[in-house]
Amino acid sequence: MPERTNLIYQYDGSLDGLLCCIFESFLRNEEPLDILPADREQQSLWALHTVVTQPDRARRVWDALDHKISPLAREMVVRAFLTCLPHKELLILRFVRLGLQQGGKVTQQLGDETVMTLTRAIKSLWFEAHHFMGFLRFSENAGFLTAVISPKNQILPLVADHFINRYSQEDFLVYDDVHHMALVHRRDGQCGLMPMEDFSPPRPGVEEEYVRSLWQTFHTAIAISGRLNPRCQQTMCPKRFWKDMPEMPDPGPRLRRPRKLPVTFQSPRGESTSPGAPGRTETLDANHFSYQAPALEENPVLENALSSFPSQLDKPEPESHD
Amino acid sequence: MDLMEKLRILTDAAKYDVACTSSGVNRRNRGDGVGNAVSAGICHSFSADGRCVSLLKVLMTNYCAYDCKYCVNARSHDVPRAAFTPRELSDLTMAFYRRNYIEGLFLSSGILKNPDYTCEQMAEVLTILRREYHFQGYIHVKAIPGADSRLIDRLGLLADRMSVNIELPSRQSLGLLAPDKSRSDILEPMKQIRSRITENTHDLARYRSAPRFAPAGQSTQMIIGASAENDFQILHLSEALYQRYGLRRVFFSAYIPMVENPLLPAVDTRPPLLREHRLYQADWLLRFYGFSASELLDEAHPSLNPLVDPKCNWALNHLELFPVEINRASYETLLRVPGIGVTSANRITAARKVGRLDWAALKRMGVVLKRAQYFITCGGRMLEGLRISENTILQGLVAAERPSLPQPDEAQQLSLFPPNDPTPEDLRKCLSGQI
Repeated sequence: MPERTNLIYQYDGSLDGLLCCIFESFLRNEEPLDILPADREQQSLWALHTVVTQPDRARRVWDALDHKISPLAREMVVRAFLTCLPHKELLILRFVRLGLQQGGKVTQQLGDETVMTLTRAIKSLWFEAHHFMGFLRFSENAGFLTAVISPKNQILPLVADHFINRYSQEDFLVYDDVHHMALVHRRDGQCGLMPMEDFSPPRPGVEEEYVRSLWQTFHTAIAISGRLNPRCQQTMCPKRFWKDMPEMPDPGPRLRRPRKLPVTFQSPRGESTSPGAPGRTETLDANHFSYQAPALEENPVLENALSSFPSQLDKPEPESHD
Repeated sequence: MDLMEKLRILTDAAKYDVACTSSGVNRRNRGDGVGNAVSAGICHSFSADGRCVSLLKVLMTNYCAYDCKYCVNARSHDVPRAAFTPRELSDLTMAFYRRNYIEGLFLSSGILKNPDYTCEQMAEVLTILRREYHFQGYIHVKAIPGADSRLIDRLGLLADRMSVNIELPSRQSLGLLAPDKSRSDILEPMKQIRSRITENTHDLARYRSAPRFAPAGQSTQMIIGASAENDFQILHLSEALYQRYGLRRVFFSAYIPMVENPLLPAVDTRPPLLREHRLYQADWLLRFYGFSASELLDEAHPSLNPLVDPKCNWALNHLELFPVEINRASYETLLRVPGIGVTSANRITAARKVGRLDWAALKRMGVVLKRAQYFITCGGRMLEGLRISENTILQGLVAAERPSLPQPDEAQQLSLFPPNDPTPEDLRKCLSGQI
């Protein structure tokens, strides 16, 4: 049994760092009081022990998680690390100890407190990721899509695949302003997750404002006045998401997005959109925007199926029904 | 008329069609299109009435040749009318889709000129989206009752889900309130879609790249409260539709009185929202919990209990089957316990394999003990301190349900004093000891 010490481990905040803490704990055969990332300023009565991140140690623990427990347990460790659960590092350490005792079936042990807490936190992580797949809103500017989100958990690794697949023909950027990370994708296929200290989205242009107002019109019109239920609306879509959704009402001063000064934005295609730039007039002709379809190949299977319909169907004789 | 005004009118006209799921199809973008589809469905927003907004739900046009009494867009009603052009609607869909506002399009229509012409216009929109813009997102299209079968076929090859609204639960009410739509007009396309989907499944088994016909299946909708059918008839009809037409969902829409008509409820009638809620609960029991409609309701009990949900109601009427032992009962038996849903039943059966469960573990796993405590034993024992009799179970379940029911409009703050302020008379009496 590992002995409890009055030591607090300090690590660099990365997953490799956490794996090194796990290594350290097994090496010294002890369980620390807590494991904290170094960037958190903590005045503590207890002694701090800094754990240096060593890639080979992290690799050994990484392989051991897969072989000695199970691939699912390793995935659970990674997912649990992305959550915002307090003391997640300590719970992960306990989970690993339990897993090395019991083997692969630890992931099913839902009666155990550590396992159930981690499972619930991971479930909450997935729920938030699923929420953001729906509530994330892109703004278009000069052909470039940008979005800003404020999640509690680090959900960008979970939603990256979805958005990259969905908008494979677009250049886009999703910025997480809580964890200072961004998901960037270019239409030639290059994409990645990168740390980004700050990002201010460009001010919306005329067409963007027009599409937003169309969306707001739709959203207002779709509600049935005989069934108004703001409580239900808030339960299903909590107010903390509202600041980045143009159709939702103002969530109040605490939850509003703070206004930043507008910046000049350089899109990858070399067009710059700085507000108030002289000589730049944007107009929308006849309230109509058109969609530029990307140049893609026809789907031969669908073409074959549809071409089997007789051509008379394409232009029927309109019969007068009156 | 500009696009904004058209959108407002045609969204307003489409909002009573409650089918708005974007689920049922998993389609990855293979680099040959724009967008993808997620089989769980994604809710993109929630409207002020609390309902999910996942698709761009509009009518192609609200000009209508038919005169259904309950419908806002009936021919004889005086409402502003509009129509989208196919190009306008496709561009609007793509503009919203690119910004991740929607999963796709939900397209219905009033009958412009005749069903065939209307269907052709709708097919035009779908064709532009699928073939020109290579749209791979979700499309739910309404098949127009009475349209040619080749047009229905064409729509199905382009859409993900198709539906035909049953509207009213019986032939008599349909004849009374929607005389332009005959029962066969509605059931014919449903049969055709059903057989085409079955045929398509066989085709796909032989050729993996066969074109898919309505891969997310078909659904339908019924209006609750506009006509005199009881819950028993409605539930039986739903069960028959699931079995005979292989529907994915039957939607229930509480009738919101918008028009004055002697055949319909008065305009100031409150919509039957609780009844609709109970019907959805019963519908879930049919689809996921292995119940049959005759177990829930019969001729002698034709209405669902408003005070407790249908599962609790069934359990109260079959107390001889309870309590069940958590560590031994089968999955199907666990599903029948109030307070244990599909998730909890799965968790219990998974956790059971690894160790015995106790009451604390059950609570951690998410079993609703407030309801389940009367019906289960854990390690042979009921929950500590629980006393059971016929009345306590009913009272306990009613009390557990009360928070989910609509509360009375004003919360009554209890007071020691009568509603009026104490008069000087009363004060005098109080001081002199007469009160």
